[in-house]
Order: sequence, then structure tokens, then C-alpha cells
Amino acid sequence: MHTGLALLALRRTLPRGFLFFALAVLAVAALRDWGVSAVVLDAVGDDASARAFARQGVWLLLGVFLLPALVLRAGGTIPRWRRTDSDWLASRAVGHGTVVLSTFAGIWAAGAALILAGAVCAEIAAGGSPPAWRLVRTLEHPALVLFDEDEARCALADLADVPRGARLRLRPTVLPGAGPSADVEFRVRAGGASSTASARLAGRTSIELPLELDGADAAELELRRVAPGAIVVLPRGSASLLTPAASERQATLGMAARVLLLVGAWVALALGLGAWVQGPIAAALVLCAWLFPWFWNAAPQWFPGGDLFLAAIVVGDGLVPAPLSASTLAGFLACVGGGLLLATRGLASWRSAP
Amino acid sequence: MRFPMDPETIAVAGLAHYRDRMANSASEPAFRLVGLRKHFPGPLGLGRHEVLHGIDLSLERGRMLGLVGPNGSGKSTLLRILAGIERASAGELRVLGGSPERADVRRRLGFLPEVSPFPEELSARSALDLLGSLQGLSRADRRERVPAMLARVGLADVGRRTLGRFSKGMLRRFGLAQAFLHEPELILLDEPTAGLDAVGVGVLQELRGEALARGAAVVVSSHIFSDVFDPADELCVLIEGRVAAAGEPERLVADGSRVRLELENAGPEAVERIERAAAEAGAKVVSRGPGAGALLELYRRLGDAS
Repeated sequence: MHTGLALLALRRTLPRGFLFFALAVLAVAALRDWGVSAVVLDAVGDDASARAFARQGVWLLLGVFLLPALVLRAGGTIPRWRRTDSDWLASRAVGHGTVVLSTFAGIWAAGAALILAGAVCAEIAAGGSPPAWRLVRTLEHPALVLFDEDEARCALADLADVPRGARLRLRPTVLPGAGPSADVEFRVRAGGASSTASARLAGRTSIELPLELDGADAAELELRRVAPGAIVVLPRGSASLLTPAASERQATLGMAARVLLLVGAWVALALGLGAWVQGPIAAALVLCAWLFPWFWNAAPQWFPGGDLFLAAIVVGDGLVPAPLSASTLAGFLACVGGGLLLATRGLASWRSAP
Repeated sequence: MRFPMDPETIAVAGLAHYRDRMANSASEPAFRLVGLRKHFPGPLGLGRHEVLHGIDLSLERGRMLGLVGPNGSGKSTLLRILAGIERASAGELRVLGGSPERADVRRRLGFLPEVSPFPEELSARSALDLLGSLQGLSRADRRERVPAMLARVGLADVGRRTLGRFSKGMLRRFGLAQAFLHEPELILLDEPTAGLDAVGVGVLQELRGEALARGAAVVVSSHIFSDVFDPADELCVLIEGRVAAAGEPERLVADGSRVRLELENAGPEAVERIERAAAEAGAKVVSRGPGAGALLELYRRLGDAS
């Protein structure tokens, strides 16, 4: 890799005007009162919700306003080389691979700088970082409904690797029935241990229970109506497994890691496609490749940044998203390798017209 | 090695510097082209646009080739192929003993493009440092050579200014600096005098002379005959992508009926006598004007006076 070329790419990706715009967007995000969003959207407005909305909001602003610009710049890099730079660049004693790798590193480093600034802004906006809970995974279970019944139960399987101190988070909701609300008791039994929580439900809300497994690898979840009231529904996939996290700041780290891999994959692919089609088309192709799986929640686990919106929702819930899997890292490396290979092959001809 | 050096030192130290590097390839010409062709795809990829039609040409080390021809004759494309920017479509091509697609061959090349597309975001000093590092110059060499070369081409005072704020003439001087910085063995200059002022032309002549003295080969393309006629050891006339004529300049124009005569210390009376003598010999003087170095001499005189 050539450091000088990487620095040139970094500088070209973050020209002064764009840098001022980026800092202005991030400053607005950092100074905004996110407690208002917490009241409007969650009807709660406590400090924890405000912190969660602040972190989520800063990452969404970064994603909407700044990151697509990086893809556009990456896509336009090789067309620009062909238009103007080839005269000084192509006659130098460095191989195409070095030129492409250095340029990728420079643009990615520009993205990393924006992501770092975004992370700092998210923490400034959140204003505090007490201990938090990390989402390990969503548990498979059938839907439970308390209609006429007084109780309903189901099994929660695949709990063999649950660490000590884990919690179960349930997201039940109510439908108008014999009243606007329902008094419900939630109980989890495993081995010889059990834990219980009671709540009056009047909308979609979260209930958390300690999960003591006493050596068992499965548990039974039971919902019991305490008094007549509304219909209670626990939809499929609304039970999640949580483990303690040292601080809420890990939510920001989880988002930063996802966005960093996503930007790396985007930049490499846009750089590669830019060697074959026009820059804006290359950028649009790359963004579209991610939009479809995002819209339909159909991204495979190896897709870098494929779970970004789900992770943002988790952060908005005040949780720390699950750590990145090895398959996501492998997918990232495959995208980068493929993109850089496309770019290097495309540079076999620096100019296509006299 | 101290840089810049006076011409005498360059003649000795430069040759010593090159002796080892060129020992194994002394018999190889600087470049040799046999039947070189180049075509580009036509609009929408249909058909093809032929730019060079079977060029046969070679140049020995230590010599200068002038490449002349009208606009669109293929001079720039030929230089870009020699510089490794373009790939030839067909034919044999050997530059400094190898293919210009090899990085180790390109390291020994210096190229001044027709336009000056250098990274406009960088200061002249940073850009020259970057270009030197891309040609394999060590950090220590760059630290020594970059400021010296900027001073040499008259850009020392504006070394911190970004290239985007340079005038066309300053960019041409910067282009010369980057082409000669790493003491290349083959120097390709595409229209080097375009946009250069008289002082810049003087710098170009000095740098070119030093390069030839240390054994490097120089190719200069121009559509202005007088730019290359005097200094070139060989001339090649390209017309519509074909070598229309090639050889020593004097031989090429021996049969021609138009010549340029440049006089020194020539007052009006001397010029009139020469015109009369020409008329007596059956020739006619069709134009009269200042010589190539007249403007530079005027600058120097005015500078001394002030």
C-alpha cells in the first residue's frame, strides 16, 4: 500500500465543504434534545428512553446524510482517474493493485473518521452511560393469547449456552376486551428454579424477568391473568434473551462496528463497479443491493450491515446489539476482495477513447 | 548526491551514477517500436478508431528525438504508450529493455503530459513529494531533491500553494519538475513549451541538456517545428498515425526550400546586407523577428537595469 495515495484519497473524500457540512449535521445531532422524541414516540420520556433515542437518532442521521456521499465518491474515483489523473498516475512505478488498495484505504479511512465523529456525537447526545443489557438473540416460541383463558404456556428451547445473570425480555400487547387493560403474571420455570413478574398492561410494553435455568437447557413460559380485563397477546418472536453489558456505550460501539464494515464493503464495491460503469450508476447499484434485503428483512447473516436497521431498533430500545458474527466479517472481506479485484481488472485500460 | 549540481558535476557524477544502472543494458536502445498499432473502440463500441498504423521507430540512449506532426497525428498517444499509460493494440514495444507495463521500467521513465492534471488539492511541495515517492525515491532523497527542484524551476516561493491556484505556466514548470525529479533514463515530454514563458523555456533547455549529458534519452513532441529542430538529434514526422519521415533534422530539411536563420549581435544594417545577399543567391527573406532567446535576453537586460 502507498501511504501518499491513501492520504490523497482521504483528502479528496473529505473536501473542506463536505467536512463542514458533516460537522454541522453531527453538531445538530449532538445538541438536539432527544427527550422530546422519547415522549412523542414512546410516551415514556424517561432518561433511559431519551438516551436510547439520542444514540439511534445520531446513527440514522449519519446514515442518511453522510454515508451515501462516500459511496458516490468511491464510485466516481476511477472515472475521474480516466478523465484526468491517468496522465500522472498511470505512468508511475506502482502497480494497479497498489493504487486501488491505497485508494480504498483512504476512502475507508475517511468513512472511519466520520463514524468516529458520529460515535462521539452519539455519546455527547446521550449524555450518560449506565450499565445496560445486551440482546443475545430472539427466542423461538409460538404466539400466546389470553382471550377467554386464564392462562397460556409454551416451551422456550435452545437455552443451553445462556450465561448466569441473563434476563428474558417479553414484548406483550393488549387488545380491547373486558376492559382497556389487563393484569397479568409472567412466570418462567426451568429445572427447580422459577421467576415471576406482574404488570398491568395497557399497550405494547416490555416485561423483564430473571432467567434462572438451574442447569436445564429449556424453560417453560407461562402467562396468567390475575383479573378480568383486555385480551393479552404475546406475538411470535417477542421473547428475547439479554445479558448484562458494562455500559450503554457498547450500543454505540456495536453500531460503529456495523457501519464501519458496511462502509468498507460499499466503498470497495463502488470503487470496483466504477471501473466498468459510470460513477453515479456504480454508487446506485451498490446502494440498491443493500436496500432490497433491508426492506424485506432478508439479509443473510454474512451480509455486512444487513442487520443495521434491526440493530438501530435494538439501540432505540435502550439495548446493546448482539456482537458481530464471524460470518459477517467473512462477508465483509469477500465484498472488499471482490470490489478491489473488479477495480484492478477494470484498470487494465486506463482510457477507452482517444 | 547533492542536488541540484552544476553542469560539470552532473556530467561527471551523473555518468557515474548511471554507469552501474546501465552497465547491463548499454547496448539496448532507449526504446524500440516495430509495427506498433493502436486503436480505440468507436462510438457505442461499434467499429474502431485507428490512431497509430504500424509505427517503426527507435532511439539510442543519450540522444534526443523530436516528434512533430499536426494536431491529431498520434503524437500524444505514442508518448502515452511509451509511458505505459496506454496499451498498444498490436506490434512490438520495448522500452528501457522491457515492457512499460512493468513497474521497474516505469520507475526509470519521466513523463510530462500534454495537459497538467496533477492533484490540485495538494501544495506543489506535497505533490512533488508524492510523485517522487510513486517513482520509488526514498524519503531522504525526496527531502533533498524536492525543494531543490522547486527552486530550479522557479517555484520555491510558491511551494506551499496548492496546485489548483497555479497559473498554466506555473503548472508547466511543475510538470517539468516532476518529469526530471528522479533522474529518469528516458524522458517523454509532450508539448513541453506550451504555456511556458521564456524563463521556463530556459529551464527546460537546461534540464534537457543535463539529462542528455548524463546519458538519458529524451523524446519531445511538438506541432511547432522550431521547438524541436535545433536540439533534436533525430526527427520523426507523424502524419495521421504514420511515420511520414524520420532521420537527422538536417537531412530531413536538406531538400526543403524554407529555412530559419538566427543571428546574434545583428543590427539593422547587418540584417539588410544579409537580405541583399540572400536575394543575390536567388532566395527571399519572408519574415523577420526576434530570435528564440530574445525575450529571455530582454528580461535579463531589464532585470540588470532595475
